[in-house]
Amino acid sequence: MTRHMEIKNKFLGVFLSSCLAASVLGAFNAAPSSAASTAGAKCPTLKVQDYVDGNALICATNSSGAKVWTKYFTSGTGGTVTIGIGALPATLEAYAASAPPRSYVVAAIYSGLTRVDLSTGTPILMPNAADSWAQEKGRPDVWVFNIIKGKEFPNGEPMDAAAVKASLDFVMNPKNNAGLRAKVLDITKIEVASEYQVKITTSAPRYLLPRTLSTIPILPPKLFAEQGATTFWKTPIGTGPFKATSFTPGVQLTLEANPYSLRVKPSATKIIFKVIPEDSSRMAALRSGGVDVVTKVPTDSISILKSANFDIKAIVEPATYIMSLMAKTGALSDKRVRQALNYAVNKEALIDGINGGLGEVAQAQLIPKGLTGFCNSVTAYPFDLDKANDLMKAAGIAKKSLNLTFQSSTAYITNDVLMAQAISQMLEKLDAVNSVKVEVLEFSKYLDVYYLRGAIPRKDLFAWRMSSSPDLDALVQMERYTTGYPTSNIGYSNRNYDVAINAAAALDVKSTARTARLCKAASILKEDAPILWGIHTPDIWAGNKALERLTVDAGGNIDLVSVGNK
Amino acid sequence: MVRILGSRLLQLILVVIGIGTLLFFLVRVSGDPALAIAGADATVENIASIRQSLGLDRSILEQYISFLQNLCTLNFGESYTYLLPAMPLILAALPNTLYLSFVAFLLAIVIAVPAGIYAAVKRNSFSGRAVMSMSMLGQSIPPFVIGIFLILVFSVWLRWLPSFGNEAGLSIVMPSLALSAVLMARYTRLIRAYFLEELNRGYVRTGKSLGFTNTRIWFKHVLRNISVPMLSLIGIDLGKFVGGAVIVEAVFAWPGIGSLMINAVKARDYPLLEAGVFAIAVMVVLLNLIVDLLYLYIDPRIRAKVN
Repeated sequence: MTRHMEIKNKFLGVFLSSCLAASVLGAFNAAPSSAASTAGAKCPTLKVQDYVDGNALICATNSSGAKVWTKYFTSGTGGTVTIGIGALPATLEAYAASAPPRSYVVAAIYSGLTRVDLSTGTPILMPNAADSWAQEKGRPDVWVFNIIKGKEFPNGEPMDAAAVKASLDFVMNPKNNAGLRAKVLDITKIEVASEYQVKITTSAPRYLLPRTLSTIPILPPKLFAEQGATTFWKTPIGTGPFKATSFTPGVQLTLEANPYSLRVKPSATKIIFKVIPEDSSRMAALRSGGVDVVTKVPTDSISILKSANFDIKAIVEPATYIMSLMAKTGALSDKRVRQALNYAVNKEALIDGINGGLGEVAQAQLIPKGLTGFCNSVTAYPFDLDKANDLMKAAGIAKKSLNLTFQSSTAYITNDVLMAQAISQMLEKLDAVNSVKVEVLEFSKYLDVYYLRGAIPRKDLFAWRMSSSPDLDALVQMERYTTGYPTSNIGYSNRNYDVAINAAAALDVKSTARTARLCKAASILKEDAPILWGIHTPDIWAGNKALERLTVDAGGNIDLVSVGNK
Repeated sequence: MVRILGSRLLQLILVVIGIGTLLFFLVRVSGDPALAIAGADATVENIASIRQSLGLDRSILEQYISFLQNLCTLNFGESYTYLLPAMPLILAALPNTLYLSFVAFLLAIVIAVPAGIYAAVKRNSFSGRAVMSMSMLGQSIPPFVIGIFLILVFSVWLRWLPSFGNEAGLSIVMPSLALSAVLMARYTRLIRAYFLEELNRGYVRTGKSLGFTNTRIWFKHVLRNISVPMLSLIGIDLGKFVGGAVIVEAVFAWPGIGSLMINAVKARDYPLLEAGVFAIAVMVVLLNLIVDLLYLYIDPRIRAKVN
């Protein structure tokens, strides 16, 4: 059965012709909020593009027909925007990983087959190098992608099916050590069906494949093969909205509008990323006018920046702060003890006391609300110390007999050390708990513990930031708790959970049957509690008021295409 | 002279081999760089493949022999994170660190010498005590705190100076002030102490009885005599100074080797770390050589001994 693109169901819009837009956009730029209501009165069907001729008028509606967001700009009128960032990737490599800050750079310079738009808070799959895609009739394990026609890379090579195949082949080849290879392990075959059509076969039906492929850039195959990856990453070319015009690793990256962009011409003529690793220095750079926008605003700086009249943008990251509980042996092998720990942690206090009121309580699930696979019926463990003490008693844990160790990262997860200390104090309030020792691990040691390598074993509680990017779906994260998953190793195993997850993996993302199975798995996971659920951490940006359309999507990425300086 | 240069060269070789060996084993004890490179979602197979491509699947002895061979040719290999040869990366950032260190050092000397002399000569006055109090304050505040304070005042409030990077001529002002503050304070106190000691010497009394002006006695004779012990201290301080520069570079996002080294430590980028430490070791030994040569120039007794 042929599946239609997600976009058709979710996304309707309108655009003005470029000449009409030119006359209207000026007014919209001056007063975007009032303009939204005027222009959004009609939202006829938008076929495949959200940006037209570089002049963007986006009018999106959700499934019930309500307008959810609009953006207006004329390309090249946004001047220069300077962004103070804590770190940039050391190279412009496209296939290394898909988390920020690399995701900003990769999305700016390169194009994947698809693009995931998170402006509305819910992932909407958009065309990019592919104009459309669908599963082959009767073959849910085969996806057919129709590639955009008449476009080329800056070196003249065509954007076609051969380029798509070459790029995916490179990522899939284990010899190339592409960090993104883990995302495409299910692909078994890539065929060039015609000049502009690619067929991709997976080992089992994979409904998330078009979404996953948004993170794998398509590169000019001949140039990439001639130069080799290492040389290519030094001066890369792509078909994203920007081209990198200068890059000093660890210092600065300058992006300018790319005339070979497949879809969109950005508002700003130049985006400059400046690396300022120290939080206080980065905030000072914003306040002194050295930069227009800063990333990773510490929560204690929010009030200062607000009082200095800066625009604060806070989103809930598509990531969950959790603590894996070592369920193999000892007291934590009893699920009542693990449940008790969940009841003993006041998650609201973590948000209000440590994260400046930003963030969201995790609903005993691994993704925040809004992402696909989220289950409304599974809710968070409420803060209930009495119930926690009762469960400990029922499990036969004597008073003050439990000594736990809590392993935490430092400066990897927002306010990680503070949260670890607060949680340890909350757990120490349980009658059965004598002490909770916080073990702060430097990042490389922390990774050793995560991968279960090196001298330090994983201990009772191991804090982890579980990111849903780029899939923005529950399944990938939930698979980590199936029996035998390589990096879980916490001793958790439940056959019913495995069955539910495996069944969900073979079903369409939009199907209710899939949601039901994921909900069942989520209920099992909550009941078994191999995790102490914390919060969905905030990602905070700040910018000066002279900026237009400063928006940060649910993935924590600033919209580089729309942002401009007045 | 040739003997001094020869011994320093030998010292340099020994220092580099010693530091290189220590660093080689220390970084390898700290963990596996393949994990840092692979990222959180990598497969076990991916990690194994990265280890193989970096040559980390060989025995430690094999790796060490290869490291020593590369050290002889100054080839530290390619940075794991930047995918570029490590030494050129360090050499590209080194001028910025040297520039910052040089200006900060110059600033420390230019301010500390007159301030120390003033504090010695006016030791019982309010202003003399004020200079000493300031130097006490300067020595007790860490450079990064001074840096943040300077940024707040001169960038955020007054908007006179850029708060980060090395783009404008004025960019050097705050980082060099922050870096030099501790040294400036330390030298002011030491110069005062040495100066006071020298003022009680016989040659000062003789000079006065011969009718020499104070300025002539202080600057021509006393200052020259105190410069010998000061030079010894400067030689010792140079190593510490580079360490301080790493912190200050982070505060001001100064594009020197400090930020490169911090990233290299985080990513367990062995080649970059080894190249960076090698460059710093060479720099410190060379600066100490310059200090030794200055001894010869300043102190005729040492010159006579060498001759």
